[in-house]
Amino acid sequence: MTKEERQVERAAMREEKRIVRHANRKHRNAIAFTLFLAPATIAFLVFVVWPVMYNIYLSFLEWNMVSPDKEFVGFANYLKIFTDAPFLQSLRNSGVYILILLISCMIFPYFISFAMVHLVNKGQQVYRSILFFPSLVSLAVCAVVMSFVFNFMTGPVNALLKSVGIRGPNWLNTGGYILFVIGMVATWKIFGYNLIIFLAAILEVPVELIEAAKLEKASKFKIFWRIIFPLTSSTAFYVFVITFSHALSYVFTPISVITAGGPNYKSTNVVYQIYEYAFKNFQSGRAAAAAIFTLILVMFVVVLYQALEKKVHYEN
Amino acid sequence: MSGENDIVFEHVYKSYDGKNNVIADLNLTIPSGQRMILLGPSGCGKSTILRMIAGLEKISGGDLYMGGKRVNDVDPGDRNVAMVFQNYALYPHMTVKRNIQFGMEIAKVPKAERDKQTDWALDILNLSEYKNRLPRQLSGGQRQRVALCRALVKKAPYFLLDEPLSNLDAQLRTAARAELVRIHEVYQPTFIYVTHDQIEAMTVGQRIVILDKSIIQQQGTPDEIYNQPANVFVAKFIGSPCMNICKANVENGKLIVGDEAAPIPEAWQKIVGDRKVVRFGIRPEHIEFLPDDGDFSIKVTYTENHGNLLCVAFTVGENNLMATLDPFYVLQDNLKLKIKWDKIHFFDDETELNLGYPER
Repeated sequence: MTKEERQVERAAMREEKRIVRHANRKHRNAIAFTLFLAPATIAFLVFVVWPVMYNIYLSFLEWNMVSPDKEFVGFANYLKIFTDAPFLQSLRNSGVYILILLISCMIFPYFISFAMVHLVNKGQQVYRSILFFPSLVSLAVCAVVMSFVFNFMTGPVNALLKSVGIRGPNWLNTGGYILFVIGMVATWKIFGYNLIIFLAAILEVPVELIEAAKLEKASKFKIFWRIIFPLTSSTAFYVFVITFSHALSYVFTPISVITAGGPNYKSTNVVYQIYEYAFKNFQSGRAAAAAIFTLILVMFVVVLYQALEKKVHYEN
Repeated sequence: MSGENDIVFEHVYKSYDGKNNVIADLNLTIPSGQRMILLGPSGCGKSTILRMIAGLEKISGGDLYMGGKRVNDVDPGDRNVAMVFQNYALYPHMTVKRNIQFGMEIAKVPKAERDKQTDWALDILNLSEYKNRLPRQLSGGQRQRVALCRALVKKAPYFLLDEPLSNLDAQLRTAARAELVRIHEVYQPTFIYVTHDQIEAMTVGQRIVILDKSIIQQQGTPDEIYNQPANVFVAKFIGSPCMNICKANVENGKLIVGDEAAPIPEAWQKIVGDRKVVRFGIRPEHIEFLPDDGDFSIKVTYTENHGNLLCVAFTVGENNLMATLDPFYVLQDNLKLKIKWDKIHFFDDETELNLGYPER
């Protein structure tokens, strides 16, 4: 073996060692990564993935949650919920709740926060505190208070209406009106939080941009529509998403406290209806089917979100 | 010298809290069609003056006239000013073209005209190929030029610039200065240009107003400001390295620093008068050293070679001075400072005002 050949061989051996070392390190890294990911992954698997899977499984069964007998019924539960008037009513009501909350907890706070930043000169802090304060009160407490406020006989709302000669409706016992009352309870909770988010976003828009627009004689509305809105659209998008999900879940407490879904299912929503199927009627199959259907609906909306998101302006 | 688009401040006050004046009793005329520079250290109130002209700051007292009309309560949108902001204030969600057209869209200018104006402005600043880019896809220099385009298409008689070059690097700045002068030549608006950079002031300005602590220290052409500074502040503020100011006693027609004396020429004696103490100023580039034959002994403390010049720090008596010399200058041991009497400035020791110059 010449000297050169020996050199080449030694280099090859070194290279081989290097590759092995590298592979070992990679292996060690893989273990480290797994360990780091494990806590979150395990929690996710146990508390999200498994319940969803189990839920799908349940939706194909007829079972009362206690009996040892579980009967496989195929898609019967799905067919049943779509012919069940209360469930269809709850879907319609859910749509109305979403609409009410998008108006009261997204559009209103958007304009109000713009007004607070660019139209009001003094007392911003005071307004901010006053408007945020209601968010701190628990939903259940608020629901009880609202049931007094809107009481047909003794509530201040009807007393006020009476003083101007209007006979107030039976808010808590009339379809339509009750949706409004429960919507207001959820608004009470969500409004202040969304307002703060919008305020932060609008304050983030550099003041020079507004000044530049003012020099061009842009009206307040134009400033909002052409500058503030596009630049805060990512926040608006976020608020839209959380308001949508709150509109499904936050009305549960007031429904439960004030009406229990009544009168005649006029105030129930899908989440409350699922609860009623499962824990009042012990129809776990139907509840699971309704939950899966709701999940599919929400997923559909998420796809819509993603299409929308492409039009949103993100900084950088 | 009054033109139709003069801006006149008459006893203008500005206070944010109602107690402390940011601007006090400002009297200033900005002549029509000129490049006027507001120069001063940060916090001197120069930006406030600019923003008062734009209408973005309310005036607390006094009167502001633009084109002969009192504008104290006129909305920014009605003042017909174009403004370039320090951070350019480009709308980040709009393309270059939309940014430039925004004002015209608000003013409901027909589309054909808008496009024509936009192309014209983009062409002047060589930005045509970037028309459809977003601001974040542009470099700092390009953004700055887009901001200029946006101001340019407005063809407003007043063109306000708030430290427009401060976010650019040194090389771009030099190019941008020339660009600004060129833009001014396009239709000769009244330029009001705020800066704290004396080089920008000297190169872009036709007139300079120097402010310090909300008070106008001097106004004049760049030449006047440089060669006849009104007081010690201006003398030290303009020029780099700054002017050397030395304290000296005057006795029997002699200027005394430490224990050395130099005879004051007759023309200067009249100006110094019967003052016992004066301050005299010499710019670093006007300092001359002579072996043995000079007026005052020096002690060199350190030297710095900048390549194109040699900076020499030295002391005369108690005073620290700086000289800029030819880079190949050889510092000998027995050098003395020679006063060049035609390049010297005298200031009163108490008021710090310039005492004037002999007739030349």
